[in-house]
Amino acid sequence: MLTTKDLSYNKPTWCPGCGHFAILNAVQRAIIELGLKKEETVCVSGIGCSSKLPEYLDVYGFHTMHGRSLPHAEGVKLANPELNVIAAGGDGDGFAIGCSHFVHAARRNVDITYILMNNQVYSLTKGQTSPTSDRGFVTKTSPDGAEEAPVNVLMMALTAGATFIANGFSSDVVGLGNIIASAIKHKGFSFVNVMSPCVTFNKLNTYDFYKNQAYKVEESADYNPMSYENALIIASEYFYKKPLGIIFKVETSVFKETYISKNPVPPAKQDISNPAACERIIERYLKHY
Amino acid sequence: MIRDSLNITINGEAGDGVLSAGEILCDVFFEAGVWLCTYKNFPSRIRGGHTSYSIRIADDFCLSRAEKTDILLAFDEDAFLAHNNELKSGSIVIYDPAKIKNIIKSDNMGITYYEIPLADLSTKNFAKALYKNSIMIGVVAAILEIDSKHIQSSFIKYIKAKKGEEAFKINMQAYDLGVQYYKNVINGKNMKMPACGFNKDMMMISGNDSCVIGALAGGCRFIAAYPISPATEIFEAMCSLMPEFGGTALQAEDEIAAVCAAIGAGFGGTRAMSSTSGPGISLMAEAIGLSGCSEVPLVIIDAQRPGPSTGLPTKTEQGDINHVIFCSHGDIPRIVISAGNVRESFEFTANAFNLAEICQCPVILLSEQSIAQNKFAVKKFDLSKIEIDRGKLLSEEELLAPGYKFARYEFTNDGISPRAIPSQKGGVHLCNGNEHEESGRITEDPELRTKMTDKRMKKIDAARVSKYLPAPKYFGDENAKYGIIVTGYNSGVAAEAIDKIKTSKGCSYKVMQLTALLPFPDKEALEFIKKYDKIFVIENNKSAQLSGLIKMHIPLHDKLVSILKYDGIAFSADEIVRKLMEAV
Repeated sequence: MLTTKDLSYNKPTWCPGCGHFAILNAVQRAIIELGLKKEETVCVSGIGCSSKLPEYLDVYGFHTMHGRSLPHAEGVKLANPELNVIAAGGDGDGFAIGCSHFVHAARRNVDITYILMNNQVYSLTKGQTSPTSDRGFVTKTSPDGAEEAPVNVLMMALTAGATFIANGFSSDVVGLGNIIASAIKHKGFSFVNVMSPCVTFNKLNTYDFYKNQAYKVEESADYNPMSYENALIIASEYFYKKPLGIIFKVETSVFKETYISKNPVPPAKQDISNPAACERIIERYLKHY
Repeated sequence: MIRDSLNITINGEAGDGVLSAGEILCDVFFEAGVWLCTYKNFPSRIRGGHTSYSIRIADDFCLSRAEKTDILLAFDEDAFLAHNNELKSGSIVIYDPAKIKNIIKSDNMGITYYEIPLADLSTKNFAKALYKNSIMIGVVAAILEIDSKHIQSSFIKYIKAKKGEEAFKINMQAYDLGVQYYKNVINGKNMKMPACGFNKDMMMISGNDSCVIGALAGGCRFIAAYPISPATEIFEAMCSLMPEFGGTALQAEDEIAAVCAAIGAGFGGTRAMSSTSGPGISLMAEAIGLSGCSEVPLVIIDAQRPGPSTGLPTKTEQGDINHVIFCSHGDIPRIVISAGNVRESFEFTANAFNLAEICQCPVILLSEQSIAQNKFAVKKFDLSKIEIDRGKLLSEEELLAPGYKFARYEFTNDGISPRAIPSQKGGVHLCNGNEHEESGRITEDPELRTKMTDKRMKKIDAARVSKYLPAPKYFGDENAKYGIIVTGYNSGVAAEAIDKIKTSKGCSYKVMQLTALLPFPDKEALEFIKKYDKIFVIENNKSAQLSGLIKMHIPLHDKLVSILKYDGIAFSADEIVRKLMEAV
């Protein structure tokens, strides 16, 4: 069995106390819990503090470009549906520059997992407002406080058609590991928003800030992650009540599912020399008489 | 060499059925065994606006549009405004008075005008106007005395197969009506078809479809793209054909997502591509850099259209040369290839995938609307010439060999590192668009950064000597006084133009067609430029981009004379002949 040590590469360069350490650890726990093989697991990221996740994870990884982790991850998965593909990145990467990819990945329902390492601030560029920053959040680019309404990522995931939506917290690494394991197991696009405090540039959304608003969704009397209506209510309260756990989960057809089931050999493993089939295509253009 | 050719142009409003009538006529000519190429000129909208479909038939391989029209078929007044200057002595003009109130006749030029109420004839005989195109095909068949068996076989293919027996019957009757009307009612004159040049093993295909066959033969099993004129047909065909080949197609939300998904699939171990045009390849710039830095194979087909911005979406230009050579920040190893006809679209696309995997870098194949969306009769593509070479992709056995330690970005003599793909044991690594060490992990070490950049850029030398990189092509006389350098569609135009000049003026030229633009064939180009007093660089853009590229690599700039055109229409051989005569 793999250990977290087997799944680690280099010491992270995140600031001491950064929430992202817990996410790295939770991903490793999920891989171990599910018994995934290193060579069959791929972690794809964009750019930012959080996007350095694959740098520290010893599985196949792809550190791509700012905002584009999801289209790359979709490409990897479609090339070889046998792989377990995890995309990860921060709130600027995923919901500013990469926002449209999130919407389309959710509605496309490719069988990948997307972990949003959400600290509500741009950190690698040293403290600017982000699309998930709370209104009034003062940074170098919002000296009078952030004026724009923050994106409600859970709500956006729901309305875009994500088939698995969960919310986790960096201070609960065991719970987060379980959530990520469920997300990876889910057939379809799974989205995990992780409240992951930036101890250097965000003095507003701290560990205590989240702790004070957090509650476990499973403990609610009417908890039913199959219910879209319930999920909408939970998501709509996100700015003042932070749900922990799986908010929504539904099984529906996965992108290219029928096709994948008919072609058990992934495109990446195909014998790519197929002159007979090419000859058939050429036939269509030939002179007949 | 073309000795005899005729140009037939059908005109009307978009929605008049001009394009479908053109397609059927093409098939008729092709099955009759004459060489042909088309030139479509249509607006960027679905209905309305003037559309023309020219079919040039010839007695030999024919790659360029004709300037003059021998038979003009006009459904609307715009046909006269747009094509009057294309008429010449001997031209026949057929026009339908239904939509034409005023015709502008060119007097004393030996042009014959016939008024034929195509729409009326259709309505009177078949209750609907929509058979006017088949009547028109009958008229063309009567002018050229085409055997009715060719019409019948094309109607079976295009009408019976799609609309059934009944529609086929009525259209055949409409065709007969057209023939009889031309022969017996108006006693129209005839024209002689160019000699039939071939019998079998010929195909008629567009540039876009040729790229599709090239991609599939070259082992492409993933495409992600966003619909855009004039490249859309590549993506459409790949979407329908991929399942047959065990591959996947993804319609992305934009061109950035498209190219990123292709890079993801390339990293995942599949030969992957995207197809696009100007606005799309502008959006793809950053990802081209990622492919270069992370060394993930990538193929992009850019069917060029006139820019900048939206420009002219359905017309032609060679204005993306600078962009694909220079785009994206930083130093990027890349390969740029320019296809000049359908055969090259097929071969170069197939080999682009070899080059991408051998050199582990982006390969951009330039096409042009004039090639992409037009049809050409061509000898059947030879699949036996297509090889698949996956470069330094390791097998799991090699990765797990005792004592071997895999490093994705290992420094090697040729700059090309061994490659592993996810699912392979012993190949686990990080692929990185950040500067990285040999393992792939991020680094900011100045020495490593320098070494890694040198390693990446060195791969261009491997591309230069690869047998999959097309070599420049030459046409014309060795002892010519002047040289011509072209790329893309203009290679076919120039080849015909120099034949014409030689026959009519006795003056000889030698043409060099640049096929690989990067790595640039500097030795060959220098040798060529040295030989001649003057070199005409013919290209379709305002800023002489091809000339600029040559000047970047070669001295003797004073010898280069640009011949430029950027009105959205391709050069014709006659136009080149005139420009060359003016220039010397």
